[in-house]
Amino acid sequence: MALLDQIRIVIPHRLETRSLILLSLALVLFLLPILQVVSDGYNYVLHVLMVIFMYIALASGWNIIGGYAGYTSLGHPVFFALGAYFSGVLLVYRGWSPFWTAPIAGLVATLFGFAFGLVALRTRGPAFVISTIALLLLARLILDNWEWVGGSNGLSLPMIGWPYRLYKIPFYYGMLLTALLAMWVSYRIRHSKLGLFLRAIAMDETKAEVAGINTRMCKVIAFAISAFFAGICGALWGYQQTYLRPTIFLTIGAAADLVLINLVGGRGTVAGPVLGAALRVGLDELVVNQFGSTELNITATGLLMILIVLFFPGGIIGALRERQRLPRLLDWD
Amino acid sequence: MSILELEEISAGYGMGPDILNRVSIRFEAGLIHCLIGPNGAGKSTLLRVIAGLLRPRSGRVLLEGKVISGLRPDQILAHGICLVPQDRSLFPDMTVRENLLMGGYIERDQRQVSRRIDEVLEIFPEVRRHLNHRAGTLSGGEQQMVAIARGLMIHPRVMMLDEPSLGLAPLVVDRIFEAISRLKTLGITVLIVEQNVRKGLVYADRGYVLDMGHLSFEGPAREVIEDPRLQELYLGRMVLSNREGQR
Amino acid sequence: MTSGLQILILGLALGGVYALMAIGLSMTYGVMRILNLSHAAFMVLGAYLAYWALQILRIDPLVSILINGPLFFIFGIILYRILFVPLAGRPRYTEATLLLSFGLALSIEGMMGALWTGIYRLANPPYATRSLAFGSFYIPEGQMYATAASLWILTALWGFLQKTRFGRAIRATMQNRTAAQIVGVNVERISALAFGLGMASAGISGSLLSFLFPFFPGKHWQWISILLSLVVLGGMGSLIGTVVGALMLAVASVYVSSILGPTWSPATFYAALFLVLMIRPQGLFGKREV
Ligand SMILES: Nc1ncnc2c1ncn2[C@@H]1O[C@H](COP(=O)(O)OP(=O)(O)O)[C@@H](O)[C@H]1O
Ligand SMILES: [Mg+2]
Repeated sequence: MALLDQIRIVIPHRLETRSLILLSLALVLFLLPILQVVSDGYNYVLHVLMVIFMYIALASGWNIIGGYAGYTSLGHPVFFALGAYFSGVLLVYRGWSPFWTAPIAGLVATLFGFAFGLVALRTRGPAFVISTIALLLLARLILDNWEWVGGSNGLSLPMIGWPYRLYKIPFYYGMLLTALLAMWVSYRIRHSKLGLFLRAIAMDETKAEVAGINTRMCKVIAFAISAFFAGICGALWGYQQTYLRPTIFLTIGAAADLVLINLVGGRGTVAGPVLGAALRVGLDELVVNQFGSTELNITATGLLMILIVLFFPGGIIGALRERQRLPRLLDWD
Repeated sequence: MSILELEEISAGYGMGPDILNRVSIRFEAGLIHCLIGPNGAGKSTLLRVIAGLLRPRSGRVLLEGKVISGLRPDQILAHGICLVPQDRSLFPDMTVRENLLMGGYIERDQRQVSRRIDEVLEIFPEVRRHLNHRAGTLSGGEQQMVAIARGLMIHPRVMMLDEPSLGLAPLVVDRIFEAISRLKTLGITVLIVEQNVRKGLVYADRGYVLDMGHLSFEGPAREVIEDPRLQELYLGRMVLSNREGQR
Repeated sequence: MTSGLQILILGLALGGVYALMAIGLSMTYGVMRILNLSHAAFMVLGAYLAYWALQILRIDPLVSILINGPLFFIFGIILYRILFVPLAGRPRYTEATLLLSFGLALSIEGMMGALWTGIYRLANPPYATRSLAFGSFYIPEGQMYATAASLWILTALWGFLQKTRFGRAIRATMQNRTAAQIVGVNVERISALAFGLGMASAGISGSLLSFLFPFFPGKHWQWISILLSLVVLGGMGSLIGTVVGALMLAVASVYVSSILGPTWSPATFYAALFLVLMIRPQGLFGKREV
């Protein structure tokens, strides 16, 4: 009897099918690298999954300010770059592994996000998005001209000292953990008081304020938290790429990616950015890389965004929910 | 003969509930009508429906027997129905003259508009000295005068005023109601919404009581004042405006 | 180093052009609460049209104003009707217009890249390389024509807004949309008109841009953030504020450029934007949103 009780504490009372499926999926993802260890040839799969994890973390983070609070940010590439350069510089000049400095990079991005948010989120509405564009371009200008971190030529990082067959695996796990953390935080915020306040802000900020919510602090905190994940992802991704260059990180296209992923999946929902990230990377691998030029890619991104805003403002999750067709598997709100 | 008629009007905002619930009213040509009712009863909503700013969900608005509900606001205005809303809705950064010009917006002939400004200034000479002031700098009473004058620019047949006395000092309120009486002498059918029940009904010919989206009763203004149901509906406020009336 | 007066002259000349570039953006926001992130993309598109008009048809960029203006005006009205009218009445309308115009900007950028590649272009009419000297001061001839054209168009726009019936209706709608409806302004039509005018100003600015500043498809992001910065400084939706903001920031950027080099002149705008948000978020002429 005592043993049974103990098991009950560890395992939730009713393990519903949904949690079971998701847990087994996570387990599969955790075990997947074994395949690569046992027999070479899965590096490509691991790489694609790793990119998906990264976009899940980035987009879920973006969603906290951009979706829940409804404040579109085009400045998230700056936090990504901040994380990348922070960890990259420590690696080059100190030899510290980004795997250890990545969480610190995340915190640095959080701090910076907090400070920037204090200024940019003072006003309501469109001034914020304008300031994030300016932040992005200013960061680009600075990095392009800062010779200590390589200027526009960028910075080469030493490669991770693992054998080729295994070198993807640490990045895979790093991104997987970050993605899981981002999803968990996103879920917890969605079901917390802060999440409630943020959604009140998105709906009607004046009313939220009248109701006694410190809207400015809520927004700033949401923005800072969302910057955290961009910082970590940047640190890992930069190491993985083995070089840092402003043109990789600091483009409006990169900012547009996060917006589009959320729009496609369903902005303001927990599952939306996850779904959107998987679709984005999947489509990229299947379609765009086969035919695509950059120009075509940009045009398609833009047109897709227009179509979604006009016809499916709730994204996939929103559209399914409206038609009452949302499978329980994806209903995490 | 009734000039304006509402037939079973229901209306509401967005996906929200019906604010007006099958309201039917007739307004008689050339009279002053006063619509009263507690806060949130739907009085402003009613005026908005007539002005075409809000589409009714069902029912019709008729002007001299012709259906006007469903027309655009500018088309309804062209039929001679104008609204002076609760917040006066002047253009704060424009001069009073420009506000009057905007009042005549639907008239394309600019000479006509200039001529009309002179006529309106003869009816409301007190507006003249503010002509070149920015509307936003005027006092509440002056703004209300300008708003009424602006409404007059289209030669209205029906003029609707939403709480014209709101936020004004008692002395100023008298001036406004005196101005409203001038409208009647011009043959304009007037429809006032008032919180200041006694004031409104004293100047009016007919009274209408709206409560929670229903027309609860109507009659000659003098009878409505005396009606015990009115006392019931808003005892507290009656006492208040009585006191105001005595001052 | 350049003398203070020289900086002022160049800055004001530049500011005149910036004012024209931003005025449409400001008006579109003021009338309709549309934040048009694609404004500068259309400006760059206008620059390409002017560039090719010069290269192929030998049409002077200053003359191409007469083509770009009407062309973009009509295009703007069509665009407004197709893309923005369906958004009317949406909750969080401005946000929706922002995302929509973001998508529009990306599409245009991509198409310009596909058509004309990413290389820098600069139209080269005969006056582009000449300078006029006034005593110890100078002003590039192209800049002077561009400023003159800008001021002329801004004055015409000002007259239109002050003196004509439609112009007054545009201002009225900016000040109080409901009130405009109450006096019988068909605000949908006025909005289309204002959007068309905004786009026309983008097209015309493009003609001037084509010979003043090198451009390529992705350049519009820098332009939009410069223009938005000065619109925020002036106060969003205030036309006079936009002009004043343009003049101030242009002078400041010329000054910064003379000290730190031209690379850093765009930073003036970004820094000014952050400063405004810190000190006076509603901008110089803006009203605090309640
Ligand atoms: N623009 C609006 N959107 C949604 N609801 C509204 C709006 N305007 C008024 N209401 C609601 O309609 C009801 C009636 O309002 P109103 O007609 O202004 O009442 P009254 O003028 O009699 O005080 C109120 O409950 C109010 O909350
Ligand atoms: Mg009311």
